[in-house]
Amino acid sequence: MSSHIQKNHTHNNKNDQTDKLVRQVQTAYQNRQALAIQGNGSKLFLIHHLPGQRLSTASHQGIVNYLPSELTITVRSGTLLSDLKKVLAENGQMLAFEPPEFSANATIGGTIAAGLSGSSRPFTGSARDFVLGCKIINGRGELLQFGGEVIKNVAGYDLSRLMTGSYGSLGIILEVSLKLLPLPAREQSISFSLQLNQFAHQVQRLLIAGYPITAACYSREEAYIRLAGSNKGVEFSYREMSQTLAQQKFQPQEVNNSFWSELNEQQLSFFNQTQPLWRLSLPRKTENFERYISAEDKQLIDWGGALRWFYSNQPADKIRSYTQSLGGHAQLFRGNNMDSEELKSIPKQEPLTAALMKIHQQIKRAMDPHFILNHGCLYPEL
Amino acid sequence: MPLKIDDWGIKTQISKHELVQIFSKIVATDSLLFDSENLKPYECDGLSVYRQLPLMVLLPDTIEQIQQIIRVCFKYQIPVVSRGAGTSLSGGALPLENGIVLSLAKLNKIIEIDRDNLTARVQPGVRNLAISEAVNDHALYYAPDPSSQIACSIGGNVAENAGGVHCLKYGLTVHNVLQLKVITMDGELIEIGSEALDSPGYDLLALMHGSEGMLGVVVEVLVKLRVKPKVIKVLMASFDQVNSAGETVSEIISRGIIPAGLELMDKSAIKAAEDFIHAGYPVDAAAILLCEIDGSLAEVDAQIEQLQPIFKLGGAIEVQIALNEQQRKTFWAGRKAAFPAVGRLSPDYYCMDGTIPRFQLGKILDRIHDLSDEYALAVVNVFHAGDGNLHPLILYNANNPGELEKTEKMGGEILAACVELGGTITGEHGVGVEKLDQMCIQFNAAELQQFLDIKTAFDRKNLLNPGKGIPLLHRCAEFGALHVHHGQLPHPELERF
Ligand SMILES: Cc1cc2nc3c(=O)[nH]c(=O)nc-3n(C[C@H](O)[C@H](O)[C@H](O)COP(=O)(O)OP(=O)(O)OC[C@H]3O[C@@H](n4cnc5c(N)ncnc54)[C@H](O)[C@@H]3O)c2cc1C
Repeated sequence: MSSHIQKNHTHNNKNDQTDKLVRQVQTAYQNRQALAIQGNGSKLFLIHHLPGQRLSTASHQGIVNYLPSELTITVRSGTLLSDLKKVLAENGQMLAFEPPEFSANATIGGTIAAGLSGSSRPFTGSARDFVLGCKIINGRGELLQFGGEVIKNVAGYDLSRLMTGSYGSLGIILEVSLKLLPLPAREQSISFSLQLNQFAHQVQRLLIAGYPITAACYSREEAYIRLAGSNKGVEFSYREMSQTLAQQKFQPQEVNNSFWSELNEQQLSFFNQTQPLWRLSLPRKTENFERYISAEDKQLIDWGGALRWFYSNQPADKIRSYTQSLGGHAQLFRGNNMDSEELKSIPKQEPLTAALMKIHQQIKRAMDPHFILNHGCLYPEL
Repeated sequence: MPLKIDDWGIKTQISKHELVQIFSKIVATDSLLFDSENLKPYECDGLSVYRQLPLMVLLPDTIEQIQQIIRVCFKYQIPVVSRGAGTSLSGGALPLENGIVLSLAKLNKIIEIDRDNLTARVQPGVRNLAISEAVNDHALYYAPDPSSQIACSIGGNVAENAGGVHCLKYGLTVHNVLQLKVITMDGELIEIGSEALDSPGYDLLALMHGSEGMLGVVVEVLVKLRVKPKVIKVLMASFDQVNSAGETVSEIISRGIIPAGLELMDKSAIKAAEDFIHAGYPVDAAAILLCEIDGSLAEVDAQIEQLQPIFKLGGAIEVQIALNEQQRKTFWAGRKAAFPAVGRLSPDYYCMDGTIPRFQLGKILDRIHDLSDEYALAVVNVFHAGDGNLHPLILYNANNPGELEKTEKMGGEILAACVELGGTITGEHGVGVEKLDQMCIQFNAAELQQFLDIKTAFDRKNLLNPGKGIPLLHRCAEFGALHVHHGQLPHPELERF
């Protein structure tokens, strides 16, 4: 077997904090001591205040196993996302769900616990789509391993994917195994002016025409589309797509691919506004949203129409009510100018129905019987 | 074949006669089967070595009926085995003696196709292939394509997280479903997921996938549709050594190419398929790789250009590219008919489903070869090579006393070897009743207990498909493979059911 196939990056074990973390949780379980779990805290703004003793995964670092030819990696949760991305890029690979970092010290554990995905999400998949397995400590202080390093695995319930987006409230992620994808040989992005109500439809047309789209966004009267694939494939598709758009009287221009990382990291000037920032997840083609917008509200549409970053002073209840009526949900992403009392009183996550909350509570109890792990971080009941 | 079912301690509180009376007020007479002649067709699923008549079979045609049935079962403690098309290969849909079979077969309508959002809303009994057929005219399709796709139901696909030849590039069922409507064992109808791409709270959508009918009854599914690729090409490469074919698979993927499908067949599989289908397979080869590439013409051309030298360096003796759509279909027809083709070679065969990291392919094939010698049972290998999912078919004759037991033992050893090599006991067929013992090898007691606790979180009386999927801990102790740490069972304070 050629050597590059078995390039196994097994790191030293000096940063393995497993025993120490297990002991801390066991003691907390016995004493019913609430634990506030965090990596480096770069996503803490997304959840409610964490009471309790701090448990940090930040120094639990390192790559446990990386076989590039398998397109999988197993990594400790405290590993910096930036370090991980670097190692992957050196091997021509990537995390295809394009997780945002929001801060230089973001960890992979926090990334998976928050379950955030970037612009490629509708086209290549979300964070949970790429989770293959994990090692966790549950609320009883037990060290458990689910899933694995293989792409297909249906042995037992899929608790690894369940951990994604659970913000540490079901278990402390110690290690996560992820599916990787090759970095595309070429990416090329285009932008053109377009009316807002044409965006979802236009994306749809381009998808049906078979272009290898990996991101589609709309901001300030401009649509942005990214293509990815082999050199020849993208070159050809880009040229053909530009011609098609020009025939439709658009004036397509090439844009720098860095646009997408600025979007994911919320560094575009659009993200400088002062109102509260809402993250609205909606069906891709949502036609009636604009009727609820007032003049000072501002939105940027990502995910080909399925995600809206929405700056608005409208009351939370109102935003939630129409977002729900359109088949979506609203997350309060950044409070910004909201006064701190008001901010405390508003649930950051969209409230659940009673039936769903009941199941959530039972799952929480199954994983963390004393409710010691990040209690209340998502909902007061969990 | 007698089956050892774990005793989940369920005590039914009503007689069959009374139950028939209650159910006959919920469903039409012809949707309630209770005498043994009518029950017979339901006595097994695709793993037909195990057979059991259920108490009765119900075939509701509305969600409301299902809710009412579930409430009755909850009240009187009657186990419920949901059933789609009954093609499970692990005994997931095997009836229980004291339980009902809840057939979803009559809920077989495509409710809505939404071209704007690229989704289809379907009832659980809709056949997998029927979805792609219904959207074919719009140049769309539903990507996961299990070999059983003409028969298996989408509800069953969700319950097993079914995969198929094209899952390497387009994902498993879990990656292609947006929303489920599920009836829980307390009769509640819940919506999991939404038309949007994500939902608040825990990822119950992922949890439901592969849960083998143990957490809820799936009564509606919103699937994602994909745009059909403009160009599809298939390459068939033949090798004079299986291992070089295996290494070529790793090489393709480490060069950054993700084929739409990448399948490996060994010599005996090639021969069986060729005799049956006449696909033009090279019967002298030790192995063939079928490699499908799709995308725009330029993309496909570029990838084929990259692939040719990889095959050559990997030791391929011949590479053929299907010249037209007809030949492409013929190349695939051999692979898709591999199971029935093997069925012609041997009175019975037993299909395994272990998965390994791809680089271990050589080792597992050697191990299977050794086991085949040791047990004197022939093995045919077909293999979703791109994602490391093996389907060794062990050939045997059930009429020879003891041969089935021998076969199962050998199968168990193959699965144990998969776990040892860093893989798993099941890639897509599920645990069912078949791999309960092997679950004890893959997971330790605390992990199994965590699964049982999750089960109870959804179904506190443990009535949904009890005895499937997750072994009770005492079973593992008897099997001799329970990983008990320091001689202690987890949570000694808990009652064991
Ligand atoms: C020839 C052949 C080839 C196959 N090839 C493949 C393959 O390539 N890939 C693959 O993944 N599988 C394959 N299978 C296995 C099988 O087809 C799949 O597991 C399929 O998903 C089962 O669907 P079904 O409708 O037949 O489900 P059933 O066999 O009826 O049930 C399977 C399980 O799902 C549960 N279930 C069914 N419907 C529901 C529902 N509505 N709600 C809750 N639970 C439910 C049942 O209780 C049971 O546990 C193959 C089987 C055969 C016979």
